[in-house]
Amino acid sequence: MDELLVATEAQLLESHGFRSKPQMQRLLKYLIKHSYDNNETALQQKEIAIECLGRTSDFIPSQDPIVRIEAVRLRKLLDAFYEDSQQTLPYRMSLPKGSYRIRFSRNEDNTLTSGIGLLLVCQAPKHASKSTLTLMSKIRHTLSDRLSCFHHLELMVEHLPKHQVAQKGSIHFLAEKQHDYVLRVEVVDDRQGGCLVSSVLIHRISQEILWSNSTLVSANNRTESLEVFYKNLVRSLVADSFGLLGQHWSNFTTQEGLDSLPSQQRSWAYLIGLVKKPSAKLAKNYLDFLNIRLRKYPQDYIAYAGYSHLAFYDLVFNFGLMDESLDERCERLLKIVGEHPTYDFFTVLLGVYCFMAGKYKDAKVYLETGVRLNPYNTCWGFFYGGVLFFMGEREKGISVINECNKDFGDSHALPGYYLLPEFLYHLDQEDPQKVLQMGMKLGLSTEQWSDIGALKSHPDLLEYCWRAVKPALLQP
Amino acid sequence: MIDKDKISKELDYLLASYSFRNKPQIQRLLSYLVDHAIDASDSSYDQRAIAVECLGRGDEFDPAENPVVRIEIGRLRKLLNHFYSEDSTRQLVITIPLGQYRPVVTQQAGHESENFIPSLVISPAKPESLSLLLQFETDAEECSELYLLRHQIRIGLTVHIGKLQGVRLVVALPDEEGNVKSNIDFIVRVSVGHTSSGYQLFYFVVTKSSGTVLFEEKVDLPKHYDTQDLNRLISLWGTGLLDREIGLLWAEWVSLRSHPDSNHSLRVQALVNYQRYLLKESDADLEVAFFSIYKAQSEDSDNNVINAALSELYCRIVMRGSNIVADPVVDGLLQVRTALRTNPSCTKLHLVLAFMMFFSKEYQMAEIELSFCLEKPLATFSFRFHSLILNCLMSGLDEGLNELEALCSQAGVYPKLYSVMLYLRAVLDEDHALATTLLEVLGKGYFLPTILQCLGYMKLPAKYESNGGRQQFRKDVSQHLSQVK
Repeated sequence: MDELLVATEAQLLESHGFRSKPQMQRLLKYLIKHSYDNNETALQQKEIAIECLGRTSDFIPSQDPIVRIEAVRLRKLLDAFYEDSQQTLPYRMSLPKGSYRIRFSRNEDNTLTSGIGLLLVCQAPKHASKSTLTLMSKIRHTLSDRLSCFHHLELMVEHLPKHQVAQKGSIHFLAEKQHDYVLRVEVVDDRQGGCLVSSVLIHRISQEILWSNSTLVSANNRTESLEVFYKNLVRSLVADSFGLLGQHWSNFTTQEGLDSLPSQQRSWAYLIGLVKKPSAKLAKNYLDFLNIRLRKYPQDYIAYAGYSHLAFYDLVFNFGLMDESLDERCERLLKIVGEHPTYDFFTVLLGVYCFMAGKYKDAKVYLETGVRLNPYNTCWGFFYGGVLFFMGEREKGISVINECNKDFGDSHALPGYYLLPEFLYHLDQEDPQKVLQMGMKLGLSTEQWSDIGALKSHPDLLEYCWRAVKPALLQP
Repeated sequence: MIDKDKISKELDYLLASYSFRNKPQIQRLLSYLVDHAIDASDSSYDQRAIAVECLGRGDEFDPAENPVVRIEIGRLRKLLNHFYSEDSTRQLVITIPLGQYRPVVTQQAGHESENFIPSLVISPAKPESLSLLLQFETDAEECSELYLLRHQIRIGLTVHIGKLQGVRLVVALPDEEGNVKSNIDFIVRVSVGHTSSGYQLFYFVVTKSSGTVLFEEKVDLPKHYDTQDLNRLISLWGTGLLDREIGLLWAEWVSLRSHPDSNHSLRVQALVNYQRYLLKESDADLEVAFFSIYKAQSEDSDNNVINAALSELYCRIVMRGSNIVADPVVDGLLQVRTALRTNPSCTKLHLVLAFMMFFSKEYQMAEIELSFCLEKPLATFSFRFHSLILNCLMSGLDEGLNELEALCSQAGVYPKLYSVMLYLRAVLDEDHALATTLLEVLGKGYFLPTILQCLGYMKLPAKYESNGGRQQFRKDVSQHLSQVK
């Protein structure tokens, strides 16, 4: 039997309801074993009576109701256990009526960290033209693909027609409880042969509209204008340090109190909170939480990766929470990446660690893998470009960063560490205009500015700039 | 004496926690009891005082008649015990001992600033997936070119396998004794070396348990190889090994999992049955696969792999005209849409959706879905094959069949459905000799049901549009069928 099932069984047998009932314990163990092995014969009344309730081979089910009675008792005990207990066992077991087969339902959420629930609904009017329908399907398809790359989202996409035709605006009422947010994209014909794509993001609990956008997709430059639409949506909402969705979720959950979230969501909530607003207090709370979480679910590798992420913040901001060498941290992450090589999130983190440990070649490879696993997260591009830059491939690094910058436009405030390579680059090129521009964006203080002349001949530029940038990063 | 501040902090923590949230009465009760814990007198813990102060009862409350306080305290006691059993790292623990109402606050030793993280327990690969370990060896002296090449292969395979469902890839390094985890099914070893004109890749696949070599291949790469070519090569390896219908490893996986000594859950057995059907396509297997997957799905309706399998089986049932389900088109369409909800990026489900919409005559939407499927770059053989089959059915044999032919001859694989398409075209072209040969080679027993289904669903060939319609088309085909014994 699988280990988690054995663990569930053990916890059930130890529980208050079963503890002093040897016959119930025997019956439960017997039914679990044979239900798992799919042994039909052993699950018949007669077999149960003989094998586990001490009846002899002349047992006749129609005359002796013992099995039925005991099964009813067991069913009640099981249901009562799961109702009362708030413990999250790996398996939910039940005994459906009319059968002696134990039903196991496995909820992965109980053991693995999960993130923000997002429901995507794409709609077009009932009698839309073919090109509008195509566009709607295309958008649904592409967004399904791209948003699925982000592991902090629990993405669901509505395909059932009865929900599609729901009155506009009422779709978020249909959403089940597990969706924290609903993203509705609506495609309608405009009169000039193009389509109007309007999208809106709603927070289910407060019914608040967090983001809305409308894009005109004309018939002649469809591909380009769609690409702009996708990039804008993905970038603003989810990519690059968790976007607007992450920001809202983090604010909302912090306000409500992180302890009020179900345990499996808390790890992401802490992490997003930390990325958005790094503070020693939050980091400490996160560490305490992970201690408990990982002791209880030592297989939760996502929370484990969260721990590595926390260690990164600990290092950069010098919170002093952990004392581990860089090599130890790299090794820890390497283990997770080896087991789950298809997660971009872990791979990028490992790349950053390798970089800090001076293993440039490895850093480059891991970051490149991360970028290929999730090409839609601009953040990975910045990291990759930054590492290339500091490794000596300055031109290539800057061009990767510029490529990412282009997606951002000027309207967005970027975190300081994104701009650092460019700042240094311009410094090197002795382009005072751009140095000034970047320095302003970095938020350098007066004293730091006065040091810039010396900076050029400074032997350790990197060290200097870390010091220069840290206060900017620490600002809320 | 425990610091009062600490107690009130602990109280806040409790009240905000998941267990106590949304329970105002219990919250009031807990705050009341804890706030009075410092008082020396016991008057606050009188049942009547509690009932009046916290539970909204009037002055006339009589504890002998009304057990509300005892019940509520019992609830609270249980909640507290449960809370601290879950959260074993709290510094303070508040409990209400049996037989009293006054809470006791104790300090836990050894929890001050403990930053120890338990080590990660690697979750075992589940028996329902195929798990694959990737290892590298270098024959030649290590240099940066080989390092780069190795990593490009690793990245390529990771990206490729990341898109497949039911396969778990592990790239972990072996431990000190040279062992890797026990529940790996297969090991892929890639060794890279130099040749005079470039590089040589040597890769082979072994079964973990027996060490049998299943497959080996040598490939030469020129010195200045194109990354695109390398990725194409990796995608070919991926198809050869892991394609659900022609992949070598899935056949091995089925025999590994159906070993008489192994004992598997319903879900694993169902997936083995499903996989066996995909490889062999016999009607008996289809029935077994469908019912076991159906059962597994009803026990665990959230499993993505099971849901995708069930959707695909509905589609196969329609193609076979099988009567094991009363209304496979309606049920199947609902199933695939439900499955897509939680698994929106699964390419196979999108193809199944296109098929099911085609069967239910939603041609416009089916066409749109299919066009996405046909655009997918570096798709596996079976995905591409079925996309092209649907293309044949939807836009006519003239248009679709050439591409299908090219795909099959490139891969050297000719599935039965391909022959069905060839047969239909032969009848259309009145090439009776070819049609007869095809029928004889594959056997009428297999052919007939699929041909009849295709006749019913496919786009009517141009020559029948003004000439008797579908009825005539059917008549011509059945006339040919009846000539052959």
